Amino acid sequence: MIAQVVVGVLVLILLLLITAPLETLTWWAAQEEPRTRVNAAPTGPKESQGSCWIVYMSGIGAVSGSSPKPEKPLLERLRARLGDDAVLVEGVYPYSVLDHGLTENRDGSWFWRQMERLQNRRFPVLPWAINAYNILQVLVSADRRYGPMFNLALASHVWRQLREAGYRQGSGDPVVLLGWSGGAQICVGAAWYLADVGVPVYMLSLGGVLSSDPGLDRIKHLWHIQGTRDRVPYVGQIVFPARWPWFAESSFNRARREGRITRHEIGPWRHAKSPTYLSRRPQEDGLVPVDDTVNALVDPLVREGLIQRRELPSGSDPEPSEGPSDQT
Amino acid sequence: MLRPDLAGSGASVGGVTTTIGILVAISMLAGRGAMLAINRVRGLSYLFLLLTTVVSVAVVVGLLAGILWSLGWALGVVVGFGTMANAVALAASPGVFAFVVIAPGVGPFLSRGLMAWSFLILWSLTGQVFGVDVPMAFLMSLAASVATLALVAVLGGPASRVRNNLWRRLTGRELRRSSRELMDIEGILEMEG
Repeated sequence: MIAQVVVGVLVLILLLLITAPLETLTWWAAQEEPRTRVNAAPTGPKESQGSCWIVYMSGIGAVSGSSPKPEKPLLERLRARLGDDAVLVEGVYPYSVLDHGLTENRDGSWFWRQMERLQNRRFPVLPWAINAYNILQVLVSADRRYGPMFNLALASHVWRQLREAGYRQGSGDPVVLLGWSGGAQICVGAAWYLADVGVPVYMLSLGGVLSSDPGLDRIKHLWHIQGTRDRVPYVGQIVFPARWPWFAESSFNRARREGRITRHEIGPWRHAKSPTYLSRRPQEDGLVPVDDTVNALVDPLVREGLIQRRELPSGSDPEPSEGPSDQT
Repeated sequence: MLRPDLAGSGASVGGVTTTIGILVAISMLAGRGAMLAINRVRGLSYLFLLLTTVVSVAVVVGLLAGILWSLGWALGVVVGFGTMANAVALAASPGVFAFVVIAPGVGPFLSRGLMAWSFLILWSLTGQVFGVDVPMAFLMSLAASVATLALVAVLGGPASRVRNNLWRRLTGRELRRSSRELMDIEGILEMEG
């Protein structure tokens, strides 16, 4: 009986793996051959709103371009800290080539809407299907066979969002790709194509799972922020062989040797179990995890000269977002 | 089944091995979905690639069978070439699952697993066909496999050039070897299409 269950689970996993790249492959097969280069004029406000642009990629719990509720406090605090120095760009759904989330305009949208609805339950088992789907797309992004196609699609979505926000090609304004968890790999993949159009690309990885993606060759600097009790980023170290030390000429190891990757450990935050990077409940020592996380994200940008140092005036926490109270 | 002279119908045995070869070719192409997508393969171009894959599978089976037959002849054990070819074709049967190679991340490992499985079958059948002991069968299978890989490496280049030329005549465009070539197109993010 147990053997049958194990075999059934393995077959199911294999089926999911086999079907994972099909969306990317069918998307590319439907594209026209790249022909004429066009000028990428900004489509947003006439005046540039800032000199640093931060593009946020959600973690694997996301079902659409709107950040999941647990991530909103982080983004609100980050936006408050950045002020006018930087533009925070959201809205890219990182786990599909189709530029929209799982809950709209696709086959099976109804299923994903139900999973999203169940995500807020106390013991969300079925909504792990969302995480599983997104993890498979992270694998697609990291795979050398599909990554160039998948990452091109994501880069085009990011590029469109930047231009809609007012980014001007040729301005030299730096773009910081901020990836949480699986979103970090998507950021690295997109970096190759963004740098190709002259964008100075930096990257912040928050508990990110990264492969040795060629995009690392074009990132000016990557800051990897990790909680001391977060073990999930080590998954990338294990499952992606090109990250192993004896592949010295891999993109990851070369970037590390050149000093373009900095690892920064912060508080005792976990990846998914409380207290996480996104928790708002003060700990015994008074430290609020999400504030510690925001500081860790902003400090490297200040040191690099991408933004100015600014502190929130005391007592001026941003308005909490509507939604279930934070239990973490 | 390996001995058509004993099994009776050579035609049915040949039919099975031919079927295996075609299924292996179809499965191999399915496993290379990235290459199919990057080249927008459909219709006639798919049939062309399927035909070339069937031919390459047949050539590899023929080469391996010929080398094994030669090794057996050198050892004083003469078997029919058809028997040898049938055995090698059967050893290639795990290739029917080659479509699993499409899986991201684990695909290349699964491919190596299928190759190892094929080798184990070849090892077993070599012992049966030639009537040799297990270590000798292993050495013969290993030597023949390595020699076949070396020959494929040497002959593969010219064969690929012929295939690419035919592809260009058929489709009017170059055959992309991998999607990595997209990363070398400057400014692709700004291109129409």
